[in-house]
Amino acid sequence: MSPPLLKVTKVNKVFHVGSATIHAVTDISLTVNKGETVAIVGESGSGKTTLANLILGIEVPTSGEVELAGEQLKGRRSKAVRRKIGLVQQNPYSTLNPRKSIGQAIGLPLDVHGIGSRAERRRRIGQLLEKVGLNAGHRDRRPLALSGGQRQRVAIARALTTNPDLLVLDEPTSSLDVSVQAHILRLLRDLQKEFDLAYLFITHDLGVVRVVASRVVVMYRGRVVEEGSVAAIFHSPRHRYTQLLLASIPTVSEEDDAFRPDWPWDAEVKSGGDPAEGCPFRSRCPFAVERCGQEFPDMHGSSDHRYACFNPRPEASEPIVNLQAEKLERKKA
Amino acid sequence: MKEILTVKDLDLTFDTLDGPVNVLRGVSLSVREHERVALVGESGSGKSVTARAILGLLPERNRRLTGSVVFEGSDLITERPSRLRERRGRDMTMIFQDPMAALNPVYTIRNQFLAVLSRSHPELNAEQAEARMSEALRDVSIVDPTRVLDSYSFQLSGGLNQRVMIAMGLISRPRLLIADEPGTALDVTVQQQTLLIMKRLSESYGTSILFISHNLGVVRQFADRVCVMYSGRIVEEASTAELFANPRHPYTRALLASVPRLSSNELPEPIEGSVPDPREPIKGCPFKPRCALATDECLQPIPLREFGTQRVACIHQEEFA
Repeated sequence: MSPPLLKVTKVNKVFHVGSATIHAVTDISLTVNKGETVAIVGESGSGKTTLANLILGIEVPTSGEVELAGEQLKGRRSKAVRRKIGLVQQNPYSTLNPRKSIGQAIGLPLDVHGIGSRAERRRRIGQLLEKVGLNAGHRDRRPLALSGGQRQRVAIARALTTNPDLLVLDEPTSSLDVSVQAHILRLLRDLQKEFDLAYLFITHDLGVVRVVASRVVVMYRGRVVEEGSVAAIFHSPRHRYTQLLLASIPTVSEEDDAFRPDWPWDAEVKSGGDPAEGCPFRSRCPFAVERCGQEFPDMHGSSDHRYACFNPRPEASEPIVNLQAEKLERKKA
Repeated sequence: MKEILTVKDLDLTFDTLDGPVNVLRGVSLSVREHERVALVGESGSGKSVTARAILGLLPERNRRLTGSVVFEGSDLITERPSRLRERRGRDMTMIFQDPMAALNPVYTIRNQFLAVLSRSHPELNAEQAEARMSEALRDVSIVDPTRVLDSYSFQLSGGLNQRVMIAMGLISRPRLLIADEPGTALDVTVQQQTLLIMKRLSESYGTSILFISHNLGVVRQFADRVCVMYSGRIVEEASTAELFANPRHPYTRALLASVPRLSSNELPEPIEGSVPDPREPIKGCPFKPRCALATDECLQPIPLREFGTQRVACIHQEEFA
């Protein structure tokens, strides 16, 4: 079997800010295979973006390894490696230089990597614009003349210029309206099929994860607390934090309500910061046991669904939706 | 129940260097006592500007505003500015989207809270004011009010800052609170909590809320009634239950279809086309160019029509029967 496209093993990142040490990312391991979408979910401060930066080579891990197609990436990366990973960021209003034309923005990676002659670059830029649903005429426009959705298309085109195998998508639709988000999600799906792209999809929106990803990694305060296939996580979340996240999704119909687990407990963020030892979620967790304060749990479960919790949500014999439907019936009767 | 806010035919045009921009095109809505009304729409639909027009926070220059905003019997558009200033921040308050940006980082929370408090309760001495502020912070589930009051906004988390904003917004026990995308900048779990607190307090203080949001899911949890805005007008209005069970306007339906669902593996349906340019005059229904049901009759002016308690600005309602 060929190695996975991206393999992250036991990666740590520690920042020193003044006298404080911040463990932004702790012991993260994950793999992304060719052509698949892996979602990273977590709230602000969970280390999602630091993880992305480590994968992109913007930050160097304190310890641990990042491998791309079997090749270990260390220190300064060669251009050939950098070409393989593209990035789309959250806010298309700040990621495009307002003084540069769209053509210049998309052409920059071509210049940096010295790809093609002038005429070829020009043709390539036109092609890319068409691939993302714009047209070659947008080449000479400035970002200011474009809507948010169009700008995000430009950002995607720019990420595709070097024919990458992996795109890191850092909240690519969070700053867009839902109707525009739907367009971008479709575009990403089509591009993935066409170029056999792998996506690392970073988001805090579990509703989006459900429809775009095949696997989910849930992060809390720099650690992976649960990971598994979309079906496993949404049908039977085991970690209490995942349960809380799923229960907090603002849904728009009763049908969707039925897919959320219950969470009648209080889980406020306590002031005074996180506990240094043990599970960082335990100060909010109504199910914390003594052991939670002593050590961070090892990953339990199978390769399809793993979680780090000493007192997990019991494994559901049936998916949440059936249980909730029953409850609704009983309530009506 | 009695209406405390009635907005009628609000029309707003800004004169810009590129010519007039018609931002609001006849917005009418009402908020009753003890009611939470949501104004939903996408960016550029005119939600926030409606809120600003109601509060009288629009710039004076280069704008043309017609229509009426009646708040507890008096029209805020024609009211004396001095009287308006008095009522704003006391009878009618507002919470802004980004609490980090709304709070001043160079003053402590106590400093800013005192400024708010002294408007509605100038008679309190320092000790009473301190007690009042602590109580208000405890009401929004802040367990250590003194620490929070001593802090600067950048020392507090987004969730705490948002709660401070809610406490400030409600300290004068206003009749109406306008909340512009509260909690949008927060994590989902924290947002959930914040909305619950706001809901509980508005119920116990009898404050009505005009709630502005682009998130249909959040609206469904929070509001009693929903107004859907598109291109500077309200295209549908209904109770929350009705709107989500039986959306009537094609835009409302399309908007709901574009939300990713937990109950489906399918990608959500995007809305084709784009929002009309507010600089162009619009004939008839603003959604016509993007609507599958559109016919030539849609070029006529489309009034809101009533279907039971639902109001819809669409002439193609028989198809949905």
